[in-house]
Amino acid sequence: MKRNILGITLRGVNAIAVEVEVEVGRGLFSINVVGLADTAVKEARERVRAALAQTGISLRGRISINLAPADTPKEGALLDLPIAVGIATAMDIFSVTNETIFIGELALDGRLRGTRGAVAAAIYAKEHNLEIFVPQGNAKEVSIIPGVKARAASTLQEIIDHFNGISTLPLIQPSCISDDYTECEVDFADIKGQTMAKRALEIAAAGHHNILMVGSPGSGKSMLAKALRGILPPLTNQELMEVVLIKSTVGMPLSLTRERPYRSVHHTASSVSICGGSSSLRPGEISLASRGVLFLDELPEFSRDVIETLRQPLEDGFITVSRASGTVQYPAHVLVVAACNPCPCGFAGDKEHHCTCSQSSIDKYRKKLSGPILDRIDLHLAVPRLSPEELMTVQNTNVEKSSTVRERVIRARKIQEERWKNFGFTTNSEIPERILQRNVNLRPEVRSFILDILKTVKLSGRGLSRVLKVARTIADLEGKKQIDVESLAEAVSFREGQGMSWMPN
Amino acid sequence: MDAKLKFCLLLNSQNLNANHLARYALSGADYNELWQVSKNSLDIAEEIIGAKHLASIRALDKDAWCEYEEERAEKLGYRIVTIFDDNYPKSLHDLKDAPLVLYTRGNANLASEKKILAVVGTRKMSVEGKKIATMLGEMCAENDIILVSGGAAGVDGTAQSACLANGGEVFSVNGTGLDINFPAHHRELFSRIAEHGLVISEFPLGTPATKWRFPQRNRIISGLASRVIVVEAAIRSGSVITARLSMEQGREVWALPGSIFNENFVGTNKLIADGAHVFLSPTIFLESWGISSKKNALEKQYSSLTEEELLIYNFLSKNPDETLDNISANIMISSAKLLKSLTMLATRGVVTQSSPGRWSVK
Repeated sequence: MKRNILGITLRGVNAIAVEVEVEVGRGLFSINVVGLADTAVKEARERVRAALAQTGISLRGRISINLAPADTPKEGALLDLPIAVGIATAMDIFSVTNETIFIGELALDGRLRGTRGAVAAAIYAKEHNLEIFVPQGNAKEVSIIPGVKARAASTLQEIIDHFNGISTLPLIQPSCISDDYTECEVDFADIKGQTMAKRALEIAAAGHHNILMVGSPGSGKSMLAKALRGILPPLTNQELMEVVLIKSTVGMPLSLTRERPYRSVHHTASSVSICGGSSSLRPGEISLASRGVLFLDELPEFSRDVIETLRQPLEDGFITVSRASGTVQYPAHVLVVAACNPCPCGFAGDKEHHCTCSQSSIDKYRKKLSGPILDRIDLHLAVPRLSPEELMTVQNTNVEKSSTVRERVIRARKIQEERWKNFGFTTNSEIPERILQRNVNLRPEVRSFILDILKTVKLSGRGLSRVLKVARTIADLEGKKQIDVESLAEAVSFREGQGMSWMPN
Repeated sequence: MDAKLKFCLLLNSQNLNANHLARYALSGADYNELWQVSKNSLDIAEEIIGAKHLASIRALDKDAWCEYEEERAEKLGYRIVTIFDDNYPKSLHDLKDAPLVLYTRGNANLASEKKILAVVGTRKMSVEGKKIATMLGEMCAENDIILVSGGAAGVDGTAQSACLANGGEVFSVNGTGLDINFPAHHRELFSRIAEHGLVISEFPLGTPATKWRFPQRNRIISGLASRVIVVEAAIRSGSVITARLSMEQGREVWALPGSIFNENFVGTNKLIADGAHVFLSPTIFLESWGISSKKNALEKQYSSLTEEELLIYNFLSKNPDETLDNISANIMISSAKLLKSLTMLATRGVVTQSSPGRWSVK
């Protein structure tokens, strides 16, 4: 009987089952919790005692609670409920016949409070075919996990009544998430000119490709980054689960929409906050932005550590966080949008403003964006700073709205999902090397075009792979079945070989 | 070791030059009296080169520095040429302060009969300057002219790279010892120059980069050449000083005119005002030198363009530095089609992004 009560502790985004064992002995009243419980768990004693008292159960005797396995650290207030249930069953108030998971924080008056980690717990419950009881506050996020047997309760009393047969808690129904879009702050139609930049953003959104924007202050990089939000395709069900899982792990307030996450990070943020870490192995901004956009403004101002730590996520789509307490992998399928100036003063190559930087300061500035990082960014875009005359005379007749562009992006995304559905990923940017070799067929004229290109444009093997992926996305946007020379030429034009030739040296 | 060689090496180690050689020769003293102590030599040598230098020379000789220098040079594959040697460039005899020793790296002929063109300019090149330097490098390569420059960042490096890239011969007169690469990122450039030309230095091995050595070696750059082109120079620049020096040496100085709004061209414009020749085009320049220019790269490209590409090319030739939208508005091609054409032209090297987001012909 006692062995059926399970709680959950989190390790990264994964839930680990915790067996709650309770023994009530003789002696003066005391509660002891053992099993590497952290402070929050140890404080459960007070909350549990008070909550049980509210339901009319007063505790007596020496109560020992063991959270097994004994050598795994337990953390979080979500163990309150299973501890309370454990004590109640030990005192024969009711019994739990099957292995069941309980999570929830208890208030002193017996109410159940929502906790973080509910989604991870629900996924565990579904995978192991167990029933799970969650607080009402977590019902919404649990509802998106298909096939889980979950019930929500608002108070401890409701749980007791459920097991005593007095009333039954209903199963949480799976919810349907709408495709509604909120208006984006900046619409494509609001940006004057910048056709090349908009094209690059469309490609980035369609294939989930990273993009680096280089331009002088005032060229419009931040505006373009904001406009990108408006053309991103909606999250698929699988992606939505991933996003909700991370948000739930961190304890962020959830809204169930298909809008992709958009995180903007300031360059004074610490490497831990961006990449994840700290002793509790929390996910960082890069994981919170997974399946969405991470905007890094003024990329060279970020510390060297942070830029280097971006290598793994940009390459593999996940990030490994190692600490003394353990190692954890977090998803990081992020579309990185980075912005920077062409030089420290910001005006190299500008028509009107003269650059006042010395060559060595320009070199130092550019060195910060190391070769390996630039190599992993698929699209390199130079954004011109339009003069006042140019801004006035730019044509405003056929400017597309974000909704039009988004439709093309969604169509291209559907093609990718269809093509790669048996391979385990959804976008062209994720194609692993060996699959790229075998599944991307190139016509002979395209192959010879590539050989020609490699004579003039410096591309590493990795660079070439990425150019091919971008070319595949461009071909998808045009509805072409095979990559042709045009798509490839466009993909190459968005790489460093062409983009930065105006830099002195 | 040959007495004359040792003499030159020792004087050169103290940064003394042909001036001092001349005075020494006039005094009638023997060369080896420089380092061998004898009753007379002390007075004469000291008089000519000063007690401090003399003391240093004596100290170096005690350590067999010359022999060591010769050995090291041989190990590194460098040659030592003195003013007494046959292959010492005759053009340098024009200089009163000609270098006594030239260390060289590479297999080309130092005393070549080919035309030699010196290219100097600022280290902080503008986009315009980069274009010009590249063009000059290509011009030299295509017309079998040796390009000599200082191996510095900016105009020097760009012109030298462009010349090498097009199969030309390059001399580089560096401001450090040959075994030191300055700036560091030109290490590969110097290797390539050694393969297709010469890296030259008057300074002993191991000499580091010090400010005053760079203007000093400029006299060799212009000394080796018969014509000097100043690409881009601000009003107070080393290039302008070099140019005036060249005029004193009797070399023909050419300068490129530039926009009066660009402070990088104030120096060169002033040179023109003070009598330097104006460089208007490679063809005119070469014809004045008795060379009929060989290839016209433009003609080559014109022939392979489609009608649409030709439209774009013509527009950009007259209107450089335009954004995609500007071009589209002017030649009535949709932005989407235009982007495709531009990228195709860019991969063929016909157009390029001359500044962020703006296109020009290459």
